[in-house]
Order: sequence, then C-alpha cells, then structure tokens
Amino acid sequence: MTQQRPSNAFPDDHLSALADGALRGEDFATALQRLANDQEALAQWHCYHVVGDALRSSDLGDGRGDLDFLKRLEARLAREPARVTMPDEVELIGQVVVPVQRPAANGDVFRWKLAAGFASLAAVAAIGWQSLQWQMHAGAAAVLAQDSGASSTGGFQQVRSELPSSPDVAMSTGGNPPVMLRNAQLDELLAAHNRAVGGAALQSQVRLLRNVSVTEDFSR
Amino acid sequence: MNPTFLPALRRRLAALCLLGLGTAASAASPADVAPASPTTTGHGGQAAIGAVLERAREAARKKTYVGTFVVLSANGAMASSRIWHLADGSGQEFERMESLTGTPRLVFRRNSEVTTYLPETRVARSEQRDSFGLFPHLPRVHESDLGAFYSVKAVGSERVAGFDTEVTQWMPRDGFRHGYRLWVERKTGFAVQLQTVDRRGHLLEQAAFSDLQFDAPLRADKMQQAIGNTGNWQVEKLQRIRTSAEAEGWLVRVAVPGFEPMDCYKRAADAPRGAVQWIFSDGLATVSLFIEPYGARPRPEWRSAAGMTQMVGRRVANDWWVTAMGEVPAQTLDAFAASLERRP
Repeated sequence: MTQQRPSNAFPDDHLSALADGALRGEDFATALQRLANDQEALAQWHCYHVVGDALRSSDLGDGRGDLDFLKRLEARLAREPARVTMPDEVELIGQVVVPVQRPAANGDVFRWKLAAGFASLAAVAAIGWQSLQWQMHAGAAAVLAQDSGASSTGGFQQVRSELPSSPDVAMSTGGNPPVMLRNAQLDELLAAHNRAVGGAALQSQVRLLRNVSVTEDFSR
Repeated sequence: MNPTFLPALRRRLAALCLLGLGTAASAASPADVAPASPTTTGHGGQAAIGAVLERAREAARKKTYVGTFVVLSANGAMASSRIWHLADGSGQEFERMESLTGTPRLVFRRNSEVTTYLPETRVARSEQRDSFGLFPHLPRVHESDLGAFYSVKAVGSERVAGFDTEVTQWMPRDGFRHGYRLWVERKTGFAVQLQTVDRRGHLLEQAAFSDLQFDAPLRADKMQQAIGNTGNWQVEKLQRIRTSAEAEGWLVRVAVPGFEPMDCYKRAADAPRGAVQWIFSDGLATVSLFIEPYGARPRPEWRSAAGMTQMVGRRVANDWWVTAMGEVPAQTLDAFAASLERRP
C-alpha cells in the first residue's frame, strides 16, 4: 500500500466496486484476473473489506485506530499467507457475491464477513476494551468522521455494549457529503433507553431483539 | 499508504452513509408484510378497551409461560428469542431470555435484578431496573390522557400462536407518536402479538409469540443453572442514580403534546450536574433525552435510526448536547430538542 499502483487500464473504482459486489460480466472477470495477478490490488481489495468490517462490527468499532493502524494491520495481514490464498477467496466471491442482487451493494455485510476471518484476528487483538464510562468525551462521536482519517480521537473511551449492533450515524459535515459513523457510546445510550422502556414481557423483548434486527438487516 | 486509498475510503464512507439512510427510510416505509385484517365488531366499551393494556401488563407478570418470540421489521429483518417466565404465585418473578438470532445472549431476571450474559466475551452485566412490563410507564399516565392522544377501538378477533385473541388498536391522533395493534389472549388477557404502525396504519414492526405454552413446569434454580458456571466471567455492574430534572437544572419550555416527564437518572455520582437521562412517556411511547456537556470540540448535529428507534443529536442551551431517542416519529425528537432549556 505504500507504492503507487502500476498505471494499467484498470480503474481503482473497480476494486471498490468488486468489494461491494457491484461488478458484473466482463468487469467482474477483469477484476478477478487482476486480483489473481496483482498482490497489491489484492491487498487493497482486502483493505476495503477490513474498513467495512471495522465500520460495521461492534467488536471492531474502536475508533482510536487511524490509518496508520490500518497500515500496520495490512502489513501484519500481509504476513499471513495462509489466509489470503487466492483460490478460496475467488471461489467465495463466485459463490456468494455474484448471485446477490442489491441496490445498495455496501449493505451486504456477508461479503464483508468473508474478510473477517483474517481481519478479526488482528483487529480484535488491537482493541483494548475499557469499562463502562458515562462521561462523554468530546469528539467521541467523531470516530472515523474525519474524512481524511488522519485525526485520531485521543480522548475516546471505548464502551462495551450489551447490544450486538452499533447504530450507524449519518453526520452532516458542512457542505461535504455526510459520512457514516459507528459509535459505541450511542450503543450505550440505546441500551439505556431500552432499559427505560421496560425490563420484561412483550415490549421489552421487542427492544432487545430490535437491536439484533439492525444487525441482521445488514446480512440480507 | 496507497495514495488512491483515501479517496476510495471517502467514497466508501459516503456509500455506507447512503446505506444507513436507506435502511432508516425503508424501516419507515409501508410494510411488505400485510397487517392482519381483523373485522370490526365494535364490541366492548371504551373503558373495557382501555383496560386491555393494564390487563395485559398484569398477565405478563403473573403468568408462567414458555415461548418463542419473533420480531419482524417492515424492512424484512427478523429476529427471535426463547423466553421462560416463572411467576411463583407470591409475587416473585424469574425470567430467562435467550436470543436465537444474532449475537448469543442470555438475560436472566429475578424481579428487578437483571443480568445479561454475553457468552462470546464472557461478560455479565447486572443492573437494577425500575420499569417493567408492557408499556411500563402506562400506570403513571391518566387513562383519559391516553384517550386524548390515541384513538382506541376493538377491531375483532384472530387466532395467533394457537390462541384465540382479541385485537385492539391505538391509533395516534397527531403526528407525535406511532400507533399500536395488540392481540391479547381472550381468557387471560396475555399479549401474544404487538404491531407498531404509522399514522396511516402501515406496519413498522411486528412482535409475536410463534409458540406459547402457559403454566409450563419451570423451576427458578433450574433456569439459573442453565446459564452454566459463570464463576470466571467478568461481571460489570451498571449503576444509575435517580435524580430530578429540576435538581439538574433542566426544563422543557413547550411540552410535547401527551408526553410527561417520568424518571431522571445520572449514570454516576460524580457525573457533572446536568448530565442525565431524562425519560418521557405518553403511556405507550417512550423518549429518552441524554444530556451531556457540549465539550471542547465542535460536534455536528445528526439524525439516525436503529430499527424503529429514531435518534437525533442536537446542541442545546449553548453549552450542552442532547441525544434524543425513542420509538416515535423523528419530529417528536426535534420538538423535544427544541424545547429543552436550562432553568434560569
């Protein structure tokens, strides 16, 4: 990831689209061919999956990691040849991604999970959980909000949530397109809200499960 | 870092955002699943209909039952859990809930003590809860008030989970709340299905027992044992301290119609004055206002949804930040945020 990509005719957009499962036909075949022959492209394709994984998983949602972390992560992952063997990945893509027709390709978290096998090992190890904190550290909501990604949230306290999913938050950043956040603190507020709603019987079960539903929704 | 990475990451984040907004939008859209179409029978007076909720609350507390519970969202998402509930006749309640979809999770409740077990991380979170049951704030709202904001009627009978049920519906009289349809078992009043609908009657979410067995032979010690040895689990105790909005210096200048202040909590004794969870309810819907100091860094205001729960983040009273959430239309949260003020 540290070198400029060879200037071939294949646009980078296609790697992103491939990770989204949005490529079809000739473009898809070309992209796979490139992954098979270009380790750098493979690393980048993988990185897209890692990013998506970290954005969606409450286990990986610690926002303190910046892009340097991703860089180190990739370097570490690059030394894990057993988990980046091409044939398996290509086969999985062929089986899972292609038949899925989705208007919003980013929503299919299952494809992200293809990468989770190797992403989670390194990323989970890098996450240091801390106990529940009520104090809202300023800027905590800005996890991954800086679209340069260069600003880390030094004061951010990761909170553990009993909920399996993190709500994603769309934030408007001035005139720029909004970006999607994950916020473990918001998880915590949602859990507290759910506690306010009740502790037993029909309705509170709805709330417990509603949060599961949010996660499940992404797997469709 | 590859120089092409950052633009690609930006595109990806933007796409994720669109996805999230799309999810929220689809959750609010008319359901693909057709709601039940009960026939209107018009039986039962208004008072009797109003008592349905209280009867359902009582039945949920006092019946011993085992069931499988399924939640279906308008956007097609589905989740389920298995529930064991034991009422021992002396007012003691034991409940075990095990999620069947998503993250494995066990919830064990003994009266107001709730412990949530997360097997994957071997974490157990214990807490005391004050509010229980179906529409827990209902007893604190006058029935006449409920009628002022919901139009209540019986809409027939149906068979659900093997039980004959009576169906009643609470449709909102304004745009500050959603509507509900409730299926209660005829003999006991036990709620076996609950739908949340928008003002036009479109289904937003449905929760129902897919199977339900009353008076199952349950034993409290067996229910607890089923969780297994938790000796080496990390136990987290959640605490919250009851306070009042007045003591914390908050008021709602213009009340949102129908919503009354319920409880107000601090999360820790050393939390700054004013940092609270302030809970409002109209009897059926609940709104939480989480208020905290604004902090030193700029915070963009935002709006989102998790399933049916709407959420907004707004700057209030200059130096404060409120995160409002509830199973209400987004405009209700906007109204709360706009009305929140520091006491002079």
